[in-house]
Amino acid sequence: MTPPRKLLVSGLVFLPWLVIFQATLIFAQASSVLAQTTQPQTGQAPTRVEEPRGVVSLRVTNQAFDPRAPWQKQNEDTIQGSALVIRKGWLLTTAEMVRNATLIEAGKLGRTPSTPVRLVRVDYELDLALLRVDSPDFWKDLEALPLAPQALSGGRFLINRWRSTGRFEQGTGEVVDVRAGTSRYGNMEIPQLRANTNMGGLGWAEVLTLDGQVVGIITSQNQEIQVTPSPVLAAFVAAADHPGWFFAHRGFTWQRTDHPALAQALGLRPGGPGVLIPEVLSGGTGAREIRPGDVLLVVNGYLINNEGQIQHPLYGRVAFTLALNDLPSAKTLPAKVWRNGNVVDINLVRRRYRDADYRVLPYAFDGPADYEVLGGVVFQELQLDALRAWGKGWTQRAPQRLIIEYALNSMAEGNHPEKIVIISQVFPDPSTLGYESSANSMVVRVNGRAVTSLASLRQALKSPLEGFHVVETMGGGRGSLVLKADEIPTIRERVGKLYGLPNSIPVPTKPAPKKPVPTKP
Amino acid sequence: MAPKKPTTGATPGGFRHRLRRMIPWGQASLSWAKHQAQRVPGGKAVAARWQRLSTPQKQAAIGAGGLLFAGLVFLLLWSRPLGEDALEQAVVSIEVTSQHGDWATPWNHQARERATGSGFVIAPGEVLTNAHVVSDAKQIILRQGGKDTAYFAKVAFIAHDCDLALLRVDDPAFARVTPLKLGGLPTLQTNVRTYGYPAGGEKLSRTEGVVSRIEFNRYIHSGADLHLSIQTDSAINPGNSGGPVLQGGKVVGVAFQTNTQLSSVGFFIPVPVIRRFLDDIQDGTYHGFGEMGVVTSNLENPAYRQWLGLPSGRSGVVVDRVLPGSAAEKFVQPGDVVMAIEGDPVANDGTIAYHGHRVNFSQRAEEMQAGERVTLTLWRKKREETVLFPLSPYADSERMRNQFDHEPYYLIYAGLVFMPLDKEYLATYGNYWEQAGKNLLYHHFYKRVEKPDLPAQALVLTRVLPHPVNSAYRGMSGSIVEEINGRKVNTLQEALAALENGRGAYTRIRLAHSHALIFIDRDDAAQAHREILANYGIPSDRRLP
Repeated sequence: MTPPRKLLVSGLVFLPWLVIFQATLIFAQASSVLAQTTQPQTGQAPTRVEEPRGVVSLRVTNQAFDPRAPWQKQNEDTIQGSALVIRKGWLLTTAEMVRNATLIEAGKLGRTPSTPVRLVRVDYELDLALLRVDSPDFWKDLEALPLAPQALSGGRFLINRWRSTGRFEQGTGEVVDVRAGTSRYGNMEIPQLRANTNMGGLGWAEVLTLDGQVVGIITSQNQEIQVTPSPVLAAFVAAADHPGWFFAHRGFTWQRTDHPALAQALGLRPGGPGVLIPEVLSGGTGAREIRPGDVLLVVNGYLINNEGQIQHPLYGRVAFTLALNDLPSAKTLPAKVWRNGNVVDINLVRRRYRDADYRVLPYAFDGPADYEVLGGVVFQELQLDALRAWGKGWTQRAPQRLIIEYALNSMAEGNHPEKIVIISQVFPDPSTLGYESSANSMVVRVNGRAVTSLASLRQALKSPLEGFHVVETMGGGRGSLVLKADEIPTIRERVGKLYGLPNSIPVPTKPAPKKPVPTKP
Repeated sequence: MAPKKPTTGATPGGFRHRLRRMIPWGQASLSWAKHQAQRVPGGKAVAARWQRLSTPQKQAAIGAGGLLFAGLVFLLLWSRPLGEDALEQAVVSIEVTSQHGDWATPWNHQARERATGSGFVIAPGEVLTNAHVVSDAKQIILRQGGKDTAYFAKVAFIAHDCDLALLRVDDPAFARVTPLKLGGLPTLQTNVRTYGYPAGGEKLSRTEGVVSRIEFNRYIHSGADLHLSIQTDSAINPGNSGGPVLQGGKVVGVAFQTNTQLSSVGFFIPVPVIRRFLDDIQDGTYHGFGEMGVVTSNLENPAYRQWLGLPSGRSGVVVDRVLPGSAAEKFVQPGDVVMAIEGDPVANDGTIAYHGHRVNFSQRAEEMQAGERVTLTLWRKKREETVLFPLSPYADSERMRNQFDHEPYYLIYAGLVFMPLDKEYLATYGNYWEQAGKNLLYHHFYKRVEKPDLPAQALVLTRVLPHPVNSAYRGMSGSIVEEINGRKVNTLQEALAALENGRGAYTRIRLAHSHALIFIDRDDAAQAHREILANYGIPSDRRLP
């Protein structure tokens, strides 16, 4: 009969073998998946390593406010994807994964994601989010994967993800190119790596590795996959640790000068460097330092060629606009412009677009859009979300005049930032008889006062004209709507009851500021 | 059950028999008449007066009455419904070979097309049909039902805004065909017959239907005009277009379009629109509809009416906009209420009473010719006012219409192709302009209304024909041109003048919205000009309006 102590010892001796056995199983699974999915066609296959400890699975329940009826939320949805272990306690994933999240859960090593996760920082421009898992138990058996310091410019890599079945899957992909692009919702130009793969169903923050280092995470998949490369991931994580670091937008438009006559007419040497600045925006980097008609020659030490490209140490030949975010810590960037026949040194102030720089906000996640109700008429500021809410083919299906306004005038002009206030809904009611066609028209004046935002609309509604509210519109529907001011509360109550419009108008809530919590590894 | 006696359409014998019964020849009949007269109220007095007349007086009266009756009978026979054989003579099939301009490559032509439609003789040697049947026609051949004679026709007048055209045939044999006569506006739920040659068949086809709606509708040929139209459940198929719709032997409309979203529905152009067209061309020119140029909204909302201070019992529509350059521009103001047109009260939904129907109030103006004056009763600043102003065609409507019967206009400089922005050019981006830049859509549909002080027209850089003189600019096609050599340009003529008056070594072109700049070396452009035209197979560098 074996004494109990001896049994314990033999058990301890056996445990490491169990772990090795499990790991072998996982590797065997991954190998079999690889055999099913991707076989390298050309180039050298990347070394296959065990990455499961650096990649976790995420399960996110999200629920958006209805952009066209912001007093109610749409159906909730659950998505599954991946996150990268940055360091103990911290995960990195895409912003798309956590958009409008009501519950984020993480799982490791193939287990069902059930550990609660906190969203610490999200940037829809970079399409990245930083997450925190407080449970110490979660971090056992997990290891951070190092970020590759250099962006991949070619060759093959591994794609790592956990499937919802609990299986770890690896495949390969091959880089097509690196170029400047914008994220799914944002306007900021960021480096994007395009790559080919035979794997499908990607775009949920799968982690790309090569030789044990992370080279990027996948943000979307169409014909190709779009990848945010590792230097951007590193900069985003570093910015979380350094208050004041940020990523900036461009504050001007530019035009290439590679046509000899254009270069000569501008006083440039044909074939020489520089891009023409036709227009300056109200916000963004250089908006107040650059002038229309300038030719931008050098930015942050990079010589800009006449097609607008620079030779970047991380990304190779890319659009010069990527240089604006080389240093998230920088307040200004030195630049040289060709102005009135002279080379002039200027400092471009790095700026990120504020809400006030937009006339049409490109997104407003994690909270309801603001709105105002006058009797049975609902007013909102035009947001891209509301246009996208028309569904697939929204660029054809949404009201044409509003799409034009978004496409041509989404940015504020000059020093007069303003929003586009629209009548988003007209609830059928005796008080709105004949006004139904005015939904989706733009509000110009209310009670004789110009309306440039919901705030100015609310101000105008305080002063009815001889007992009437007079709403003047353009871009569709009728010219004006008139409502009796003293009937508004009665109408409001009637419409509220009939159509389920909450009686009290919620105070507009912006996404809660996600303050970074500096934690050193 | 005994068969019913026929009530109309008699055999010759039966008709004569009735005639004998009805026309009382001879003395016996006079007594019969006297007897009958005494049976009706007041008849006794008439009978007494008859007794007082002398015999010659009586004979004269009988003679006159007989003549009057014979006249009535003649009129009745003369206006009886036309026989089918007479219709086969008057309703013709129209075979058209047409060729539309190519707005994508404006120096080319699109492929020739052959199509058939219908038409009918409206006057000796003249055939009425739809404009869309004979648009862009290169050759028109008419044939009568069941006959093999082909008559060549020419378009005498064409009105794209109301989809009507008048063809002329010079052949004297054709001039002998009896014309059809125009009737009036049919009433709802009455039967109409549509005649024509659907699918180009040789025999005249006839379909019957019921008038189901009389209202304003978009005429899809021009794509931009609304006029009175009549909806019927009579099938109107391709080839029926231009054929007459008859009721009681008279033309009550011209079949012209259908609605593919509705089943078994056809539309025809009613007589008021036809008559206006025929009156318009009396002086030898088609002028188009006289339009007021006001955009109105209904006033069904009581709060709106109270705000305007409209007296109770009065109604109308409120003017939202007065189109710049329109007939009403100096006479009507936004905020006015149109209470009546030509004395006809306008309801709060914008309709007036019209031959027993309710139609949009502008129908009154629709029936007038350009130059005629329309009277509007307005409610302005809480007072009633009457304005009287001459109607005129709205010049700016033309760029909003589909274009026909002319080649596209263009101008080529240094391989840059400039064209006016119009609906036909937008159509090169898809049926619903889905691929067109939003800048083009704004300029075409909204600029004129929202920024009335700016010119209505716009000029587009439609293509860049690649050549070293321009190749760096090839991505800029599809943009609105803002200025050339420092001059604002909105038309081809302005562009030509600005290009010809350029000074210095470079031509400078600025695009709207992006504000991007194009510089072209003027000497290089002059040298490259012929080469570009030859390389791209372009016979001429311009076609100006």
